[in-house]
Amino acid sequence: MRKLTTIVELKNVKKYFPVVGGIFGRKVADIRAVDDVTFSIRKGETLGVVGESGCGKSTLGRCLLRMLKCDGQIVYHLTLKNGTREKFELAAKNVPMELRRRIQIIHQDPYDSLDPRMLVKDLVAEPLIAHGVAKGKELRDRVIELLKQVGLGEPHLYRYPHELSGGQLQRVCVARAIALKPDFLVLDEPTSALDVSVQAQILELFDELQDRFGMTYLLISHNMAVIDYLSDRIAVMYLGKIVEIAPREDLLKAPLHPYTQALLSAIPSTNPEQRALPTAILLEGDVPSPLNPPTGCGFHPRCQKVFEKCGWEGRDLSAYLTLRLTPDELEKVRMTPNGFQLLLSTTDSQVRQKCRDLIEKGRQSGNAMFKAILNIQEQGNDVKVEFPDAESVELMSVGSDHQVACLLYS
Amino acid sequence: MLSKEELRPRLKEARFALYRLKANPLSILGIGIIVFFVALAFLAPFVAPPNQPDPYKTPKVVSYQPLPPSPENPFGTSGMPGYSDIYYGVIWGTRISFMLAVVIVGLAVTIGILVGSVAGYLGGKVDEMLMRMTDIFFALPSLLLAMVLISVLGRGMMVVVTALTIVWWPGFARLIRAEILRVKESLYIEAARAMGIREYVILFRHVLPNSISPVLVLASLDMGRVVLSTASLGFLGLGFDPGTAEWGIIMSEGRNWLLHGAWWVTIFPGIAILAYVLGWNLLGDAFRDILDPRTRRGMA
Amino acid sequence: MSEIFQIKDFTLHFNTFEGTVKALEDVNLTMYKGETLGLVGETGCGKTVTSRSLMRLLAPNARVLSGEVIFDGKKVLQLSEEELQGIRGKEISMVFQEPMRALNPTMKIGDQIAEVVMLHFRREMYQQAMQMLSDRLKRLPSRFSLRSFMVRIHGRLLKFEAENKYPDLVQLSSILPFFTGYKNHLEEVVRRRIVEMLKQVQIPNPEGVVDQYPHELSGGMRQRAMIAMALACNPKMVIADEPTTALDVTVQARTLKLMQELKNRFNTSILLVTHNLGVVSEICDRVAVMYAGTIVEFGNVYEIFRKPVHPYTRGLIEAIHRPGDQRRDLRVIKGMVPSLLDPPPGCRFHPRCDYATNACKAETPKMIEIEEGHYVACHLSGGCGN
Repeated sequence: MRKLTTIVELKNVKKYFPVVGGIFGRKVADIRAVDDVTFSIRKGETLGVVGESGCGKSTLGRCLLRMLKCDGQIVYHLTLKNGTREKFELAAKNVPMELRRRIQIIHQDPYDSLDPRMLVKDLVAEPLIAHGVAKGKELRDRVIELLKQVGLGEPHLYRYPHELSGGQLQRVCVARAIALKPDFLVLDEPTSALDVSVQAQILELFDELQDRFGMTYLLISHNMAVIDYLSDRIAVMYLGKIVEIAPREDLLKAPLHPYTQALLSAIPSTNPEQRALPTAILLEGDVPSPLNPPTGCGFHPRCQKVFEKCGWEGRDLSAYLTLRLTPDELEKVRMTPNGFQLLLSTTDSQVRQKCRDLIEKGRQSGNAMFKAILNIQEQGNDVKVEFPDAESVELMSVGSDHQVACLLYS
Repeated sequence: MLSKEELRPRLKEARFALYRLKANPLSILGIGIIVFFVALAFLAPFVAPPNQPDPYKTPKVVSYQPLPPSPENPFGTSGMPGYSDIYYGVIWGTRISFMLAVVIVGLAVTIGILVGSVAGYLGGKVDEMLMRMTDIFFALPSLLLAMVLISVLGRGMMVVVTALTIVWWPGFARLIRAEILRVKESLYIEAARAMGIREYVILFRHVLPNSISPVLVLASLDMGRVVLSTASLGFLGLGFDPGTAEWGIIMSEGRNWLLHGAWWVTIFPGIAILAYVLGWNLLGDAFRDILDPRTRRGMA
Repeated sequence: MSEIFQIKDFTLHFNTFEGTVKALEDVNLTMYKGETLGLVGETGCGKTVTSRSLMRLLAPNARVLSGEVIFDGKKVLQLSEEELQGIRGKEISMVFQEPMRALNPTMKIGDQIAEVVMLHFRREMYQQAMQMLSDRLKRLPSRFSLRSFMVRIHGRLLKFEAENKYPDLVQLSSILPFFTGYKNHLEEVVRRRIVEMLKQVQIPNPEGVVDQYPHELSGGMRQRAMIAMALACNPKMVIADEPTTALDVTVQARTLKLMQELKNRFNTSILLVTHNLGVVSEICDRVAVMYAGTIVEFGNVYEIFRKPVHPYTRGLIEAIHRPGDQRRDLRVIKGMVPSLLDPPPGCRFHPRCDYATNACKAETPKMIEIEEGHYVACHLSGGCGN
C-alpha cells in the first residue's frame, strides 16, 4: 500500500482584502476571499477545487504560491536532493529560491500570462536562466526538449505569442512551468480559455506529465468535467470556505452538501434524452458578496434543505419582507438588520399589521426561517425580531476521507 | 547577434508596421515632409553656402528696409535690425530646429522615464514624493522660466535647451508612470515573479518594454511642439543671440515691418515651422496607429 | 412550418494583411419559426460570422462571393442601410457573451433599455403618454383649474414632439419652468414598460435595478438585463452568442430555463451560437455543426447526439468528458483547426479525419440528406466509420 505523504498542509488559511472608506481611508469591511481553510494535499495526487465565481478558489491558488500574502499556515514538505525531507513555511518574508523552483502555477489565459514581446524560446528559457540551471547550447537543447515534451517542436522556438493558437500557447506555459521539474503545480482554470477539442488535448497532456514526473496537482476550475477528469479528490468551495471534500467517486455518487448537490444537478447533460434542466436544483438569488457573508452557514439563504439551526439573521427576514411589501409600504417602514436581530420601525399601523401578518403566515407555512425565530417584541412603533446566535459551520468527518460542513450531518 | 531565424519574426512585425503605414496616406505625407527636412538639413552647406566662419549666423544684407525676394536673396531680406538673408536663415534654421528637438526631447524622455518608472514601479511613498515633485515642475510656465534662466545664465542655445528640458520632462514622467501602473498588474508580470525572477530584472526586461509605446508616440509629436516653443522664444528674443539662423529669430526681425507689406520676412519662416510641425504631427499619428493595441495583431 | 431564415450557398471571404481568409464556404442553413437552433463549432469555425450575416453586421473588409441570406422573406444582402436599421434590434436582436462588455458601463440599466425602446417604439410610447394624460384630465375635478390647464398643455407638447411639429416651440418649452414637465409623463410611461420587462426576466427589485449601473449587478443579473433589452421590441428572432459561457454553472441553469420560458411566452425563435455542446443538448431543437467555415452536419438534436455521422461531430461528442465516466475514455481529435487563409482542399476536415480517402482530399463534399431532416457533408456518409 502506498504511504500517503503530505506535500503541502494548509491550516486556518485566511485572505481578507480590506475595504477602505471615508476620507481617512479607514478600514470599513473585509472581503473574505479565503475564510479559514484547512486541508492537506498528498504527494502525487490531484486535488480538484471546484466552485463558482467569488468562492475564492483562484485566490487560494495564488496564496499557495505566495503571490498573495495570507494569514494562517502553509507548510510544504519536500524531499531534498540528499534524500531528507524538509519543511518550508510559506509565511517567511522571502520565499527561498529552492521552494520557488519546485512549486509553479499555470494560469487561465495563456495570452495574458506570457510577455507579448518575447519569443517562445526566451519565454521557456527564462526560468532556466533565472535559476542558473543552464547556458548556451545546453540551454537551447533543454528548451527544445521541453517543447517536445509538451507536443510542440523546434519551429515554435521563433514565434511570438500572438502567432500561436490558444492551445499551443497553453503548451508553452506548461513547458515553462515544468522547466525546473517542479514537485507541485497549481493549475488555475487551465482550460477555460480553450476550445473543447483543445481542452481534451491539454488535459491529456497534464495526465501524461503527472505520470511521467510524479507531480502533485492542485486543479482549480468551475468546470466539473475538467475537475472530474483529472482529480483524485475534490474539494467544493463556497464563499471562501470548503463545504465538502471527498474522493472523486464518493463525491459524484453521493454528494452530501446541498450546494454540491445543486452544483452537480445543474451540469448540462450531453444526452438530449436525459436532460438535466428539468430536474436541476435551481438556487434562488445570487452568490452573496464576500464583503459581508451570511452568518452561520454561508449557504443558508439559498439552501434547498435549510432548517432552523443554519444561522438565520436579521438580513434574511428583511429580504423576505422587502419582496412582499409594495413600494408604497416600503417607504413607510424602516428595517434595520443588526446581526441576529431585525428592527422594524414604522409609524403606520397598517404597515405594522401587514408585517406581523406576513410573519404569522410564514410561521404557519413551516418556513425554516420562521421556525428559528426566538422571540418577537413590540415596543411602541418598533417591532424587534430575534434569532438565536449561530456560529460558522466547520468541516466534519462523515465516513472515510469524506468531510462536509453542514449541520444536517452533525 | 541575432541569428537568421531570430530575425524572421521581427522582420515580419516590421513588415506589418509598414503595411499599416501605407494604409494611411497622411502618414506617408508626414514621412515625406520629415524626410524632406532631414535632407535639407544635411544639404544645408550646399544649398545655402555660408560666407562666414560661424555658419549659424545669417549673412547680412544691410538695407534700410526689407528687400523683397530677388535672385540674390530668393526669400528676401529682413532689413533693420537683423539684416538677414531669409533664405539662408530658413535653410540653416532647419538644422538648428532638428538639433534642438532631438536634444530637448531626448533629454526630457530620459529624465521622464527615469523618474516615472521609479515612481510607477515602486509605488507608495516614493511614488507620492516623485509625483508631487513632477507636479511642481508641471506648473512652471516655460516662457517665464526661460526669461529667468536667461537673466541668470546669459544667452545661447544651452539656455534654451535647459529651460525647455526642465519644462518638458514631467509630461513623459507622468505618461510612463501611468503605463507602468497598468502593465505592472498584468498576469505575465505576476507569472515572472512566481518563477522567482528578481524585481529589477522584471522592471527592465518585462515592464519597461511593454510600457514604452505611448512614450514613443508622444516623443514624436513633441519633436514638432518643441520647435514651436523654441520659435516662440526666438520670436520674443529670448535665449538666442540675435542674428542666429533660427526661424523664430528671423520672424522676430520682421515684426516691425508686418504692416508695411514686408510679408516675406514672416511668411517664409512661418511656412517652414508649419510644415515641420505638421510633418511630426502626422508621423506621431502614424506611430500611434501602428502601436495601437486594438489594430495591432499582438504586441500591444 | 414556415421558415424564419434561409442561408443559401453563402460564401464569404475577408481581405486581411496576411491574405484572404476564406471564412465561409457554401453555407446552407434553414431555420424555422418558433424553434431553437443551435449553431455549434469551435473558435474560428465561422458561426459568429454566419449569425452576424443575418443582420449584415460585417466588417468592412468582408466580401460576399456568392449566395443569399433571406430573413423573413427579405433578401438581407440587398437591403438598404435604412431597411437594415429597421431589422436590427427590432426583428432580430442579440444577446452577447459578456454582458459587462455589451452594456455601457456609464449608463444606468434603465436608460439603456429606454434607448432601445424609444428607438423602436417611439410612437407607441408617445401615444401611451398622451392617453395617460387624457385619462388624468378626465379625473380632475375642475376643467378650468391650473392643473388641468397644465395637463392639457403638456399633452399638446407631447403631440407636437411626437409628430415633429413646431420644433422651435417644443425646444423653447423644454427650457421654460412651467412647461418643461411634459417630458416627465413620457419618462413615466417608458419607465413602467421597462420595469415590466425586467419583471419578465425575473429580476428581483426591478424598480431599484432601473436606476443601477451595470457594475452594481451580478453577472447573472446583467445577462438578464441584456435579455430584457433583446426582447424589448418583441423580435422575431434572438441571436444568443455564447450567452452563458461567462456564467457559473448554477447561474447558467437558471438563465437557460429563463430563455426557454421567455421563448414560449414571446413566441420568438432563438439562434444559439456556442461551442458548448451541453447547452445545445439542453435547450435546442435542431443543431448545425460547423467546422472551418462549412456546415458539416445538421439535424434534429436527438439524432445528432445519439447517432452523429460526420467524423468531426463524433469527435466533438466523444471529446466531452462526462462526470462519472471512466478517465481513459477521452478520445481526442488529433491535429489542429486549420488556418482559413489556406484551408485544406476538398473536405476541410480531411487532415484530421481517421477515415479520409482520396476523394475527401480532392472534392468538397455536398450536403446530403441521409435521413429525414438529417443532413451530412461527408463523402463517406451513410457508411461513415461503421
